[in-house]
Amino acid sequence: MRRVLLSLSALLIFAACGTADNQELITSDLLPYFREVFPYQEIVLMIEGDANDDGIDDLVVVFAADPNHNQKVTVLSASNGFWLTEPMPAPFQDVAMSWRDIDNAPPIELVLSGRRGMDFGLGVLRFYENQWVDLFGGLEDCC
Amino acid sequence: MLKRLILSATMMVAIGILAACGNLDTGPAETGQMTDSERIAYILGDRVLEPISQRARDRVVQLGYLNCDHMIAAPVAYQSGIYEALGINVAVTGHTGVPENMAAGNMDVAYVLYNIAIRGYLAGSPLFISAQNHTGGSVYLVVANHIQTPQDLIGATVVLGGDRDVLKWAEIARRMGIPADESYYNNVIIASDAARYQALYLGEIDAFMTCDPFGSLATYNGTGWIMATASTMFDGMMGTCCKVVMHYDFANEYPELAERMLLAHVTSIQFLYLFPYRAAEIFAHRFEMPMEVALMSIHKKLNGEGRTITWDMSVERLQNQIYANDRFDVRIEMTEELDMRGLTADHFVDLSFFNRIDAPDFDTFIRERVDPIFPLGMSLDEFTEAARARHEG
Repeated sequence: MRRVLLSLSALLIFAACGTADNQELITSDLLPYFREVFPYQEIVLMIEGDANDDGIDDLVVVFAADPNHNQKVTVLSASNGFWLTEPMPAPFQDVAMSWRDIDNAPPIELVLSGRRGMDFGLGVLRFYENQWVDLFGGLEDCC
Repeated sequence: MLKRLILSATMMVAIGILAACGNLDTGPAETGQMTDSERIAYILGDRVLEPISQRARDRVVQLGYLNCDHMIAAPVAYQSGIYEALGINVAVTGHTGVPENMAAGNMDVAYVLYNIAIRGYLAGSPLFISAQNHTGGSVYLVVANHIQTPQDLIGATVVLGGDRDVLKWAEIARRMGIPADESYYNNVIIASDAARYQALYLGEIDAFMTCDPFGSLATYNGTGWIMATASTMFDGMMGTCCKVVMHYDFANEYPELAERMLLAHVTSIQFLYLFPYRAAEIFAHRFEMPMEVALMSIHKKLNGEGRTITWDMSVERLQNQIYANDRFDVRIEMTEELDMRGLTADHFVDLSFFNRIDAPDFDTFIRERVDPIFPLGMSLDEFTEAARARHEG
């Protein structure tokens, strides 16, 4: 995992982010931390929510890694700074994200869907031990 | 050795051409003496349907089912108007990815393989098994015409298949006296049954595991022949196959809809047994197959291989099926996780909704209403003739 540790003071500024479930975010207070590592990549879709159940919203960003591939990275906000998760493959076209609590237990799961050509995929992802786990392996063909 | 076979887009398109080699029936025809509404009324008889609430009537039930003949009760219920007759508003939302679509809230009810349901449950999908659908069997080892004996398969290019097929292949291989170990074969991966059929037709492979309609289609078109049919008997113990699964939240929030969907399931299975020719028309339409292939497949499911489509759920048989994986040394991780977590079939089977619909006893239904018309052991020709005669009145 790639780590971006920022000052504690920054946390006070950015901790009040809301959750934009099922809505396309145009910007986010957490976006500068993504841009520190990925300054030029085109953003496909973003969503905010508490991925790691620490009571502070995080930012999930799907971005164009190259002209033929998308990747997903998460800016995790914590009480002592910010982290970026290791980029992982994301659907190439028609990307959609939403939060859904599938088991009435924290953390909340991320539903990520999309396609590559005719290969559609839908993943239900849970943030577990500092990484996203695709619970049902539904994203194998669409990234 | 495992090799990946990539089929060209041209090959994939050819399925439509191949299907057209037969007498393609492009849609269900209302040629019988009864309409579907009359058939449904005939099945329901004097059953009194309690009115369901406006809230439930307004709820669109999201239905999923795998593209497999085992799930024929779902498209028959949809196409014949059973859901509508029972006051349920149903939308078919997909044919793959049941556990993740259930988790994502895209499906309320689905027809799916037992092992997909269990592994989805283990991974956290909020689903439970709500009813029986298929007893098992009805998966075929289709071979090219030049393959004459099981020994001919050694070293041949075959598609032993994926998760659906692994236990069935192991059972067939043991019964045929050839090794199940894929290293004895040139095993290639082709995902869909349709593409496997294509590959056999084009001579790319020598054999493949499949559900219908592609086993029957291979026979009908002379592309190959069915060397073996998977059995659901393991060391004398009966197993099981596909199930109707439901989302916990859907069932708990709309129990009257959950029950009504299960009544539709039972009604659809009765429709299949009592009106198989009409069911075959729907099958031909849904799977875009010649009517002859649809009748072959319906005959296998309802008569040739026994009464394999059923609502008669047995938790004991499900448990037998789960542990058959251990005996054949497949899906070890599933049974290990079940054991590690102390889970048995009772943990992911909930028949409480089904038990409230007052379903008729399956064996009695077969004995009293089906056996007199379509007794077990009918040949395909006998079955087709009887089904057509009943359809035309």
